Amino acid sequence: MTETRIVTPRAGSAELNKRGGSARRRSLPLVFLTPAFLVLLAVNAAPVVYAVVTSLQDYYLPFPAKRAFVGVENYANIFGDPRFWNSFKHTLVYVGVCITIQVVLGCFIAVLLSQQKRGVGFIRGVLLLPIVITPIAVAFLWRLMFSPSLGLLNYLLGLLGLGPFEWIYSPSQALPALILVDVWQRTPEMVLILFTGLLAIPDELVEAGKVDGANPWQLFWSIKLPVLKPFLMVGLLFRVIDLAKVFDVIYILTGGGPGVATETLSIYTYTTGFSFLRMGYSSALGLLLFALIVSLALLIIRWGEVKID
Amino acid sequence: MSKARTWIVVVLSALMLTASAQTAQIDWRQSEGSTLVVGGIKHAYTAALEKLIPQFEELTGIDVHLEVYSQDEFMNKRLIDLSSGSGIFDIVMLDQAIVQYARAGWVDALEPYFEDPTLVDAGAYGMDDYLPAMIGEGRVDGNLYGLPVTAAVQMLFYRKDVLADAGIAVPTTFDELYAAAVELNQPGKMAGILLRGQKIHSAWSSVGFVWSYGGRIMNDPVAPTAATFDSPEAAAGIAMYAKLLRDAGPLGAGNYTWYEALADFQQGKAAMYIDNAPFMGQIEDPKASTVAGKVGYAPMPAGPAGEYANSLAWMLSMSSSSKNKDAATLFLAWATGAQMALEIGQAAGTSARESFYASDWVGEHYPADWAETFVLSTKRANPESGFPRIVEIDEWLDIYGGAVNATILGTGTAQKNLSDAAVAMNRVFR
Repeated sequence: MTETRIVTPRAGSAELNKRGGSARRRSLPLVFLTPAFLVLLAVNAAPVVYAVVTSLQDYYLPFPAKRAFVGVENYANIFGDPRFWNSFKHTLVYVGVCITIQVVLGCFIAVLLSQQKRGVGFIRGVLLLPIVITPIAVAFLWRLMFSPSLGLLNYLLGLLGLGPFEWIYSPSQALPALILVDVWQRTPEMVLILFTGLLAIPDELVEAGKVDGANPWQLFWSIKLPVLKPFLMVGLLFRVIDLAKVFDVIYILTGGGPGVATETLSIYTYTTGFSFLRMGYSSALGLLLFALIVSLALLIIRWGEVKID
Repeated sequence: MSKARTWIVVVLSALMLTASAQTAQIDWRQSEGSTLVVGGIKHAYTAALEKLIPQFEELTGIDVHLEVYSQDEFMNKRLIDLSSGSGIFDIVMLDQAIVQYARAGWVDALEPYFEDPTLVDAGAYGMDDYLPAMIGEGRVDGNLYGLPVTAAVQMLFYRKDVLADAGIAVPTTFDELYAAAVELNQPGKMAGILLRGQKIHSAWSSVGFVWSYGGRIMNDPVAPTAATFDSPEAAAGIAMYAKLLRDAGPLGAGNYTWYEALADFQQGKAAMYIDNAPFMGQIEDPKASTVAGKVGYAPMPAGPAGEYANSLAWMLSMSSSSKNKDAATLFLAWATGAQMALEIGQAAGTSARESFYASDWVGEHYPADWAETFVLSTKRANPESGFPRIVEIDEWLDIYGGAVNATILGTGTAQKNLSDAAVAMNRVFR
């Protein structure tokens, strides 16, 4: 187990007593922060630096003796790799479609919920259910339901005279099926965030709008949405980061298949690293994914004026 | 009193039986007090092994920790532990990754240990008893790196009732198989045939087709340097594989692993199924299967160049970072020796030793056509190993399997997909 160095307040102040009072006040927070910094450095910064170094090397795990510095060759190869662009495209489509559906659906359900008088607590509880199930369990559950021959979905749709669908077993339906799973599991998260936001809207604002003759759509668009924006942006930020690095559900449901029809950047990174053992290439891919997530997050923060205090 | 006496007799004879298993002329207590960590996957084999380990601990005074994980989790743990040389595992279960592990020096060649008469009594061990195809899986560059503990070979599972009702004889060639599968196929109700279609899974599963049509996967069965799975013969085999699934397979066959295929077959959703022989256990289990007792077992059908079923084995190997190699050898010799292999085989339902399949126990517990087919198929020599003897095995699974999968999905012909894949594979070899 990792041991964390803990600076006790007493030890800290003993050290600080030697210096003057103002210096003490200034450095006290630093002393308290040091252990956290050290841990962060060890578990976050060091691996990133190591990944950056590895990404500049030709490193095939079975033959470590041949490990060599190759400059930006891995990156150059990645940009010429059709499979990278394929997974990049899937990542963007997956993030884009999921987030659009979740925001629209989330707003809709949150507004309906805010107008509900009774049973709100119960409905909120029910909404939480998909979120609290482990993603792995969710994936296995859906895998059973998606089975074209034995699955529940095709059975139910068959009763309505629809299908049979191939779901995750067909190259064209697999990505939409994965999006369906995420929408099912994560829309409630958006609902809860937005619902909390809606509760913060003073009743007078809405009443005033109604007096002025605004219809429900105008009430939402011109009054509720502007108040909701900070909440929406926080939800968006979390969801986009989560979606861009999604791994577990896709890994279990399709493994990136059929073929490479649902291979996202994280799946491709995993495959090159843990299956193909091309550590340099995989590190470079991982860093590109990291860069993508950071840029998406910065865009949202900038565009949505998310305040980080 | 008489009851107690009966018990004493039972216990004593049990002790004598276990003792007789260990008549090997070596000092079993030479590594007393050491500790071994054995890493494996959740499998009928490890479940059976776990129950017998106390016997080994009693015999040797060696403490054994068997750590069992799900397959993917284990593969990652194994890779991290052995590649980093941290030596947590002394013994690991190995699969097709054995060439990679052997050439990278992560596992030891076993001859130096097994030829040491103070560690292994060769007579009691019975190295000759292994099924040739299975022990072959453990050989890399002429040395033995893994001892097979399970054995799987492809065979044809067919619904006796369905074929009889339709008046169809058990297919013996791929052309007959195709005709039968198409005739028996009732979309939405019952597929004519099941095969693995998913990218990675279809690789191993389709290799026998390539051989049966006269193709080869690699240019050399022992030390390959180039892909040859783009030959017209290989393409003909893969074209048949894809044609079977496209014309008579289940909906969504392009992402079927054995998991979906076996479930479908157990639920009566298919007339025929080619896969691993040990699935018989699950097919004949009345609790999990609706078709128990209705299934016949036949050898893999033949192609123009003959009849080849692919095989695979889980093996036990010794980590080269192990700090207890003598103790590890004792464990390997004990667990995989002829006598114990029989005992574990009966509990696990699988063994890589020929004597197991010839035993009365198998005759009493398994369908006769299954046991017969099994020995017949495993004795036949295949032109190449079940998995090519290359370090870049996962890239092969991905690239070659990807070509098979694409053909099943109908993107491009078998020849084009395999030709593209061979170019990609040879780039990996470079």
